[in-house]
Amino acid sequence: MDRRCFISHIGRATAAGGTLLPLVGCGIGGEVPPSEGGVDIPANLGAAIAHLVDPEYRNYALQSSQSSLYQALVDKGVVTTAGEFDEQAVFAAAQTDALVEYGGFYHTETELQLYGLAYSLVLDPPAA
Amino acid sequence: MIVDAPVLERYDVVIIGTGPAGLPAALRLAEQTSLRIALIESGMKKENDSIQDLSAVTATGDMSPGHWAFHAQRTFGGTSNAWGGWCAALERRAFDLQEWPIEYDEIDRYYPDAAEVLNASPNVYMYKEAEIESAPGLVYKPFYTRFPVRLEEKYWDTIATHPTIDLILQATCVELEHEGSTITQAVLTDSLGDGSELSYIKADYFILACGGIGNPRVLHHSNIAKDSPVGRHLMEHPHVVRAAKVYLNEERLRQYTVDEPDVVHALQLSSERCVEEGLLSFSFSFDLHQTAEKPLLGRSKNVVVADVVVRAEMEPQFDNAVSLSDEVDGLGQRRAHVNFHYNHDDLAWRTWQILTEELLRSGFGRPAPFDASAPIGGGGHYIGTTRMGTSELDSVVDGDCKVHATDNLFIAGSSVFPAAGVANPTYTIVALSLRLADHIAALKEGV
Repeated sequence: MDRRCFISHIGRATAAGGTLLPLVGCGIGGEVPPSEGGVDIPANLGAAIAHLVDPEYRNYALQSSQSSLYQALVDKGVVTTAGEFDEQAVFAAAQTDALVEYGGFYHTETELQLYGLAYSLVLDPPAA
Repeated sequence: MIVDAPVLERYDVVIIGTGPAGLPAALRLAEQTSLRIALIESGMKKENDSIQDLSAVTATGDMSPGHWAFHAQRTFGGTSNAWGGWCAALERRAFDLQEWPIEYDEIDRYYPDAAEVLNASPNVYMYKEAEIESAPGLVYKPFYTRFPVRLEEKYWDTIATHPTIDLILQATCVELEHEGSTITQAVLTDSLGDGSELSYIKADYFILACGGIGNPRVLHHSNIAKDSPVGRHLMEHPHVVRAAKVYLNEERLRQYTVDEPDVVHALQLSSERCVEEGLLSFSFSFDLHQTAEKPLLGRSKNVVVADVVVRAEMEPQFDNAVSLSDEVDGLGQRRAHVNFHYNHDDLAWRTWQILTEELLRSGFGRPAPFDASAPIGGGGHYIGTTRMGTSELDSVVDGDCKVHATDNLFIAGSSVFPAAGVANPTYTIVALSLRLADHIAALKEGV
């Protein structure tokens, strides 16, 4: 998605009382669009991890595709193809993950993927 | 009572210095025995600039001469007139590795009485630290910081009227004379004179309590313990302010934090973890004022957001040392020269990495990288210059704080610590002084 498209979407959502509608025809960050590779991200996953949305992870979200983040987290058992979220898997992954510096703080790699996906899904949920 | 000169031909004990090392020892001895004690203080009841100048040093390395002089206060009560009131028990790490020649319990059992001397919270010995559940390498270890007791205010009247303690003010000990291994007398001079008029005081036992710079200086001037590393292994406590930011899980943290005012909250790696990883003690403190909601390991949590202050233990280095300068003071005595360089950097970096892993992987918090450009200050703690040990070749005093090379000279103060820990030393100085007093009392009784 380019910046104009992103801001236009937010503006429409604000005008509509804050409900974010699915985007059509825009890709995040001008890079790989969310539906790349044909990965179906369950529609309920956004709600399952919405509590983890934090504006600090916006840049991370914009650097990655939803599908790549989603697939990485499925592979780790953090989320499922049924749209479930397992926080214990985040803890388990943290015991072996490399630590990454982001936004001035250390994170586990899995955390970054998770918070990036949360931000991305809440602001750009996958098409139904 | 206050006297102008020794009133006895010979005292049981002469204690040189009235700070947190000397004064508690005098009072303990006086409480428990009927020994006649002379208490010698270079300064007066209140500060005198000319006398304070006797503490001035020359210096090379990382700290200014003024830093060393400021924390060597020459007034009744010594550096208790300048300290910040922070109390914490020493970590066990160095004791577990036998860097001290005594067991931790030898000091621990005096901590309650030391807390009373310093008007410290009883939690300082009842709640020294707490292991963090599910993060076993971490401990919560706070500093207890009541308004700093000034020993002059607390004990002046007691000393001034005490029947068995003779306080001699404005008297600087310039030398300890000895015959073989026995100290025969202390040589005193008027602190405001030119050093030419001397007086002498004899005793069965002498306790040198002149601070981490003053103690080795007197030994150097007296040519005592020349085969021992007198003045060597000087350690300080590097403080790094705003070393990093950190988020801490507030709910989990509050399970451990002491709920009383005047506490500085801090986390450390446990002594066991330090031993396991070959690290020195390392503390980071923070306040609880600012909070936010942040994700931590897949949960959205209320977190404390804080800039941390790091306090690190230094390794003793032979070349960090107190020697004699070519410059002389107003009494004609060679001043102390302090050579000192910080050496904590590599270990501090590695320790922060391990702390980072412990915090993150347990979900207890999220640290930022350590800021290498953050300014480093000292704590005003002069440690290790007459270190305790078993051998005369690599230490100055034995486990009873007796100078190896002598029969009857003892040293009180943080100069005897062979390892610095990160805890502020005053609390442990007092505990060791009380222990030393009990030991001398036992010696006098022939126990």
